[in-house]
Amino acid sequence: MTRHRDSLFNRAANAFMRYRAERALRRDLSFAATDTAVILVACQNDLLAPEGRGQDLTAGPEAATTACAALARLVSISRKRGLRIVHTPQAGFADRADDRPLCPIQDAMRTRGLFAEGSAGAAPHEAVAPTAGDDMRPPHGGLSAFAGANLADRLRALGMKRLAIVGALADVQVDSTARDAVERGFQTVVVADCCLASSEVSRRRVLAVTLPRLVHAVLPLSAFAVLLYPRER
Amino acid sequence: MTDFLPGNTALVVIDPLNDFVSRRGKGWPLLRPVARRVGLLGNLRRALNAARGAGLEVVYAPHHRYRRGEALPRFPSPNQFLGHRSRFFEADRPGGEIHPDFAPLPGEFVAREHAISSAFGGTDLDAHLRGKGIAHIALCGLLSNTCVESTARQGVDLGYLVTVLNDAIASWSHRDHDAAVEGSLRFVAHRLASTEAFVRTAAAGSVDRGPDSRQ
Repeated sequence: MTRHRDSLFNRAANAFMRYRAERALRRDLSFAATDTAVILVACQNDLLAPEGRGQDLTAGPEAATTACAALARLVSISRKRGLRIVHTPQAGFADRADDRPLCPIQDAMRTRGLFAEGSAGAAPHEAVAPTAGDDMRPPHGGLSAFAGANLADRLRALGMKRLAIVGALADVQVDSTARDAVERGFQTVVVADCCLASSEVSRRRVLAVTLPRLVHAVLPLSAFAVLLYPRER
Repeated sequence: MTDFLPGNTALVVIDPLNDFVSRRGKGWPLLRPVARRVGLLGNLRRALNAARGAGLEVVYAPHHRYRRGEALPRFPSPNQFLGHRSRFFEADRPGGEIHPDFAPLPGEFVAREHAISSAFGGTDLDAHLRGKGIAHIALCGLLSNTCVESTARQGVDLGYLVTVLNDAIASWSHRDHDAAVEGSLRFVAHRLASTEAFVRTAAAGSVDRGPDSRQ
């Protein structure tokens, strides 16, 4: 495959625009328990656990372990600071009520039997094990967690205005969920190290190239943690 | 199911506005490398001609126009912020108009402006397509990894069969364009097709309503 290199002019202009937008939007990044939710996108065993049925659709067990460790840290920090944790699991594709044509990645999940209702694979990964205060949304059958699950209404009813979006797969469900969150008026950040992608190449593409143009910030967990308000002393 | 048939298929032309595709457009200096590489303008013309010739539905999805004095939303996205600052797609100026080469013909549907990136976001596009009985959308236009990909993703969630014409789209850089056509679109769009394949299939569909095996 031919690699196409961007010209120096092109790279400089794109970097400058990104810098300008980041600098302007950074001022407004501050996350308080009153209006911030952490959206756990498809953080289920079939994608995150080593024995999951979707292992071959991900960047592999090492990447999954790294993502799960970061997810566990994020959830622990968020609970301590009182942020709302929202689980948005993916439904299985085997016995679907609707007849939407499945796209290639959904079809790959269907043939592997991912997220079968009641299975261990459909359960939340232990890194994000739910506790009493968490918000459990019903499993959704779309690419985006906002597809048909009344997620936006629920978040608004809870008073949420800002979302931290994490989970799997970064280039599939997380990407769609993040785009939809922006469309629906939420301030949207994606915490990069808490995301598992289908491959390392794809991870860089979605988190370093595309999403920084669309969402309010793509941040590492360390940077997100210091934006929580009130600041930790 | 995967053919482009009249009554079933719509060609959705996303943001064919002067600031993107005119030589004097504000975005053209940055878009030109990818546009030249894929043959964007020629392919958009060919796709439009083929769709019209085959009697497919042709719809336009233009982006939000900048209007003087308008305020940004509470949480502007990076693209919204930059578009506002640079008065991109200014209303009642050439930059905000559809390029004359790709102008809609009388009777073709122009959706309401989309504000963020998906052509379905807050517009009447979905209602119009459903009203026409469209099940299959073929996407072309700009930009590969933002508006086109967002529309493809939301189109999948809305239940459409989604084809993206991978050489009738372009983005700000090769990196951006490749992130979509070599990356995520392969997972989320039902099909990636070249304009040539689209033209051939659409023409065949309008003649004998069957798949075309000729090369």
